[in-house]
Amino acid sequence: MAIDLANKIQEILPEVSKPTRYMGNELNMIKKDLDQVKMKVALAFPDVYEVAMSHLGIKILYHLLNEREDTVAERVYAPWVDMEQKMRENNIPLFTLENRAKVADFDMLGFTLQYEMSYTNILNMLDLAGIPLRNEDRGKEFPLVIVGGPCAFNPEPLAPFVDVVLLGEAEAAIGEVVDKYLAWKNSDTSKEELLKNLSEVEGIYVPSFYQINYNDNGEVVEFETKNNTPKVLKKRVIQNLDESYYPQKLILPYMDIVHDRVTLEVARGCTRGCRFCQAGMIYRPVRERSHERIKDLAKKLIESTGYDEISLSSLSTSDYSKIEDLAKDLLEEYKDQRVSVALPSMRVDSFSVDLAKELQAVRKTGLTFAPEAGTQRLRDVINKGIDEEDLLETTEAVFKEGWRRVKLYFMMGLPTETLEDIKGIADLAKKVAEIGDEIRRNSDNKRRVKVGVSVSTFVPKPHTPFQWSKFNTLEEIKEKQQLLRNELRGKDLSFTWTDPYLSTMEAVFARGDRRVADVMEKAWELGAKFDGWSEHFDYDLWQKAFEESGYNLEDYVYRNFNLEGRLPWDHLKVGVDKAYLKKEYQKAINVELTPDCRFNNCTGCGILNNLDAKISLIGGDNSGE
Amino acid sequence: MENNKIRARLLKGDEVRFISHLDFLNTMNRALRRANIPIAYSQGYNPTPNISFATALAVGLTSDSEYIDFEMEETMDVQDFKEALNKVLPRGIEVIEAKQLISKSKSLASLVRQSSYFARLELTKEIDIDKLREEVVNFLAQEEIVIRRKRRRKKDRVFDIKPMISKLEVIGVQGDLATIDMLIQTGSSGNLRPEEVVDALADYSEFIQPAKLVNIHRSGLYIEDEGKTISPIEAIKR
Repeated sequence: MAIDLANKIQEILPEVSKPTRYMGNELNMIKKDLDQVKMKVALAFPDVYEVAMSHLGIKILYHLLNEREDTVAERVYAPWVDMEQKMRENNIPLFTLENRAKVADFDMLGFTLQYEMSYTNILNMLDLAGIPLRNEDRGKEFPLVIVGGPCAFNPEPLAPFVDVVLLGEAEAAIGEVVDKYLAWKNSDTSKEELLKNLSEVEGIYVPSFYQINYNDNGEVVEFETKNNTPKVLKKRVIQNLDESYYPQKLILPYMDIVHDRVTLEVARGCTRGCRFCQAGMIYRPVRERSHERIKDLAKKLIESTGYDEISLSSLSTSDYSKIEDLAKDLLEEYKDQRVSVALPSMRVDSFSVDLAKELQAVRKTGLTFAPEAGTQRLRDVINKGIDEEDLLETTEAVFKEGWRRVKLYFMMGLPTETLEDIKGIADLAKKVAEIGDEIRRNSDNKRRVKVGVSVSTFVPKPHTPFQWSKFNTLEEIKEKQQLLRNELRGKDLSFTWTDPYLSTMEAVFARGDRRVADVMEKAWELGAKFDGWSEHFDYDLWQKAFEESGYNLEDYVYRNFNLEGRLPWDHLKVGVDKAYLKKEYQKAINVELTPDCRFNNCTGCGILNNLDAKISLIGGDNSGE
Repeated sequence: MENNKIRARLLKGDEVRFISHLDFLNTMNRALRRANIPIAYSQGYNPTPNISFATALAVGLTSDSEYIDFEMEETMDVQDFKEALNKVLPRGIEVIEAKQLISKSKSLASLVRQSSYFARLELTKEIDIDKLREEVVNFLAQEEIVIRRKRRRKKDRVFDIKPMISKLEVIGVQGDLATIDMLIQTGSSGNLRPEEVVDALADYSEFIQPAKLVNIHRSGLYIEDEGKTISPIEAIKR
């Protein structure tokens, strides 16, 4: 039976694009005998292999779960459309990469929710696996469907489809979840019993135990719990990041993936407090790993993979304590092996040209800065905390050092934004390009400067100070994009933007409630999948799904939530007080800044009072705090 | 040290049959780093290990004849080289033999002339081996064997492959499966793909089904050396 499936898969692989996506057998893959374990977990990412394999969270969980002798974790990713077609034609169900085993035979199926526009892929994968979409149609013979990740802080649009939501850092809770599951598996009781047992684990949310109703503006007017489950649910966090689990081996893909390098997470959380940024709110508090631990991990990971690049990742790597010392030590250590060190997420105001020079000693590829907004007023509204001087000085310095390609990242559609702010984006970009061109003309390096301006559309996200704000209308976005297209003509400038229709759908799901689940299912039935991929995204289809489900798309996108109302995700706690978010919202409207608590006084977000965790800035300090 | 190269023959097995040529190259580069092999790096902005393949293998095939020349930074015993690499290579890739290159040699890619393959044929019905052999003999006896090759964004190429086939033999039949052995032209001066031979056979004979890539294995690769075609490692002996 199992051999049959493996053979059938092998036969269709030559007929699909990029068969390596479905091949498995990569170095450091863990393949266990499925009959020798008690618990089988399928870790799913609802996108293709190249994207999925670049995600750190799944790697951590994969290796952590496989450390347990009684448990196996295998990977499963969304098959690309050609593969899906072949699978359906040949009756091949969704299978895992390691043992090519049917996903439906696993005990648990976990999806990570990284991006709203991958939700239809979750439905499609369940269907391909032969698993009923709705939790009410799934008995205990089917895998328990569990979700986690950043979008799980508003999982309501997926509520009818999932069994269990894990809030926060999964490595802190997954062990307890597996233990509870195994205890239940031996007890031979109902699925309801399993859900009850799991709901006792802190950070576990069972949506079917909650009855929620909304008013026309999308605010919660009725909220009932059953089985004595808690009315508010807190996220889980790792207490001590330095001592927390980190894999010493990473699966080495054969094909190119999006982030094809050793990813070393140096810190979690960010204290900058940008008001649009969900990650900045939900991953608090800030916790750093020590230099010693990072160096040790770097050594093991390079030895076990042979990668030629280490990326020191975090939400704001230039804020990490003594980042220059760490980066230079690593560069020196691996110079002879030609291993380079990359620092993504550098801020203009803490950027070091000297460090960048060392990192890109030979290859001056390009640098990205994120002013986020075009005028000082709007940058203050979003609490970005950088000024034009910072940007101009830094870009001047990098042009002088020989860089010629600079990318500037902005958003449009931010609260209080006017066309003046949009024009500010173009003005700022032009200033940077002019400075660059002047430096070019006076230097030996005559290669022209390239300033790439990338402007995405702001989508209000739950648990941020802008969670109440409405999304721009399609007309507004189109007008702003047209303005930038007109303004950003010129030899040294280029402009890229995001599809306004796609951002609109992202806005629906980011702040969606349980009612949009029907729309999602309808859209999937109409053929929606891989919505995040421009070649597959079809807005007409989504409009049709809304019409057929009897809901109004515009109500969801253009909703300005009442500050006093109860929001669809208010029962899920990331640790930051709602009162703090409100205060930050008011300060945004009043164009007031809130300084970073790393360098200044506590800003009163409440994280340390609400969670059993503390800030830890131990980078470079071997003794810890 | 005038020439510090090691030539190796590698296996690309079932576990990795779907990786592309570029994937294979990356896999080797990373394995060299894991094994701490003193490989020489290219100059320039983006240094990469100096290794060169004889030829690319089509995705889906297995092979025990993938030849690579490795340029070394320091001399290394070939046995140590082979063991060090085999310790870190993923399942399905293996160094079968390795030899120090003595004299300067042209690039492997420019010398490649022929490849041999085993292909498993799927038959439309069970037939006798002699009957199948007769089919193949008649196939080869045609005046010309014209095939059509599709090309991306270009007109199809229609050409005679008969001169490119040096050998085509049925070596066994079991039920509705048969195995053939072929020796065909490979390289920059003319390249015939084994699946094209099988498809041409299928077109000709009612007993033979079209090719499946997973049924093909490269069993040998031959370069030109002083007018003869021999394996790249044998060529080092003299």
